[in-house]
Amino acid sequence: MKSTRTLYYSTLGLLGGLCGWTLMQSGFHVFDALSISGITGLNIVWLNKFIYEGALIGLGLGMVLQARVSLWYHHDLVHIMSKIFFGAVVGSATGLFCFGLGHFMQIWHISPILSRLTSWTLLGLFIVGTTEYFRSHSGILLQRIISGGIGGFIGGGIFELLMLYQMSGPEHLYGLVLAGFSISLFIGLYENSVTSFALRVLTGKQEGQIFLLDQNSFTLGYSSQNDFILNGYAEVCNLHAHIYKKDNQLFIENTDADSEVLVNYRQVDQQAMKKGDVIKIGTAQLQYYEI
Amino acid sequence: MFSQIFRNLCACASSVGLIFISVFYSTLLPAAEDAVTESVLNEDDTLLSFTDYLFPETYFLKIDNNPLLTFAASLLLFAVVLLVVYALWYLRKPKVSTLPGAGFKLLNLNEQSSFIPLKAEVQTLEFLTKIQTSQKYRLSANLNRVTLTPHQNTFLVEDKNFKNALLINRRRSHRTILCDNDVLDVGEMILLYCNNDVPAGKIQRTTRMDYQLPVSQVKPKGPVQKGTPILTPAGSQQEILLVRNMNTLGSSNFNDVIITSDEVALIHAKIYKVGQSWKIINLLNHETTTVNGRRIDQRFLKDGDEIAVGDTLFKFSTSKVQTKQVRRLRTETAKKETAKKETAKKETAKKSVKT
Repeated sequence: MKSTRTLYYSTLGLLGGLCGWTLMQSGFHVFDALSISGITGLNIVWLNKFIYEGALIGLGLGMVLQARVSLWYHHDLVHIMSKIFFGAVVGSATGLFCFGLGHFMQIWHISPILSRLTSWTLLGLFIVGTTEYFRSHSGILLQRIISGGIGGFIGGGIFELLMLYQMSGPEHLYGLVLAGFSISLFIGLYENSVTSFALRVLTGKQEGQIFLLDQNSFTLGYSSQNDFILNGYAEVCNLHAHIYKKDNQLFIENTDADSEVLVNYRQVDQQAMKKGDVIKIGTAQLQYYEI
Repeated sequence: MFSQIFRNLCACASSVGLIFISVFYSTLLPAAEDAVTESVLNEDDTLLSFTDYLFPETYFLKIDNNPLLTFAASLLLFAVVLLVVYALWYLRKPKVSTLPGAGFKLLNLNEQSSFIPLKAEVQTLEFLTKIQTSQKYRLSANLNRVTLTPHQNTFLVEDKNFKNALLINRRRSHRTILCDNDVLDVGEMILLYCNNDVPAGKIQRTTRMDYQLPVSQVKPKGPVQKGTPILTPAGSQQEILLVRNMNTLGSSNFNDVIITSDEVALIHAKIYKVGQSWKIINLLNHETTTVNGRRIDQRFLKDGDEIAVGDTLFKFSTSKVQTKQVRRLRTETAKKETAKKETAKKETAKKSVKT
């Protein structure tokens, strides 16, 4: 299950890179049309100066990285659209910033290779950082942001190598796609190494879904702001339970006084979970296990 | 919803800030370009000239004047990418299995969700040892003494050997009716009982006494006369004869009809004879007795009435020969009563008109 998720994330990263590339292609034509229609100066020369490709790469990657968890857990489509929009805006801004900085570094006569690598690394760091920041209720994980940065660095390295051997394809297609792939692959690999507990839904509408526990704390409930959403069941309230890690053990805590959390059919307020425990939240039954 | 809007507003605000920075860049960038070109011209800087030899472009992506794709093609490719993302989302939709009939599901980790169907006959749990699993589980040796008996739509589990490590819903029990989504622990095996015929929550299982019939009666001595009323609890063939002229219903042992339920008071209701017909009376104000779904205080009973005392349902009936007479009498009295009422109404109407 874990390796499937890594594969899923890296596929999404690949698609994000491709998305950025297609947007770049269409952008050229848009700017060409604008320059013809009378706004002078808006042509490819201007584009080359304005780091607009960086923004579009950031847009594609941000879209995908922001929505990756929601896509993986099959959340509501409207919710995913909102996340994608958010990721696109923030991602384009960060891309603009990172590649602008890289270009700016040339004032100090730093070699283009180094500046390109730094801008890729910064892109990885910032994009993962923004996606983490807006899930901050479960604690920002610095390691995950750093893993994004490492992914960006390696992606940038691949990009450089492809450029060196002149294999980066039409308008650097392969380089872009592979860089996006490596960023999300490294995040996936990091989450893979952290995950050692999981919750499986046994019954009802979400039967067979597996919640992989890869952070230090989670929220569980009906509303879409939770990490794990249980919306096919009766008697699940908006913020129902809180799961957190302590001394390499997972604890479950009841957050709503009016509703119940049952562990092994006994009502609990706060309890460490054991392997094979059956947790009942509302009418949903979950099984806890260690991978 | 509010938080999402707030999020997006945050994003827009931050991006506006960054765009300001980038405008600031756009004044600086030509300067950077100039610096680079100057350094290229300056042949003393060997490092930069070397890198420029490797990469003719000064920085990141320098675009050809003729892009590979046309506008329409690039937009189409973008749509295809989004479609692939949608397909990836759709693939993650949880598959809800619809299984026919009753059966067990193995919940152990490495099992490939194998479903074990159950036949509607008396059987022991010994078949669990014959199931092929990826790993050998330790099971207790006395599984042949755990029986599954069909009970209404589901099964009744009876553990006749108390040494078996059998837990139902993580509790030790000797006799239980299985409901949908029950978890059974048999040794190391964890089983989930599935039964789509009986949706969850239909069977209410509270105590161990539940599967014995909740109603018992004072047994009549000697032969029973014709026309004695019969109460039949819903969902069973048991017939309770009301032998006496005055019968009390309740959960106490002193009653004529004893209903063991939490919802029934010690002495809850009374059914007694009035002339030729029978009448039911609710004895406690805070308890409910209903006839044909309507809460009543006291009421005459007809043949085929449905009485609910607390949460227990009964059907009221008498033997056929007597019921006809009773019915005729009831209808006659009812007609008389309605006629009386109408006359009374007319009189009151006249009075009101006069006043």
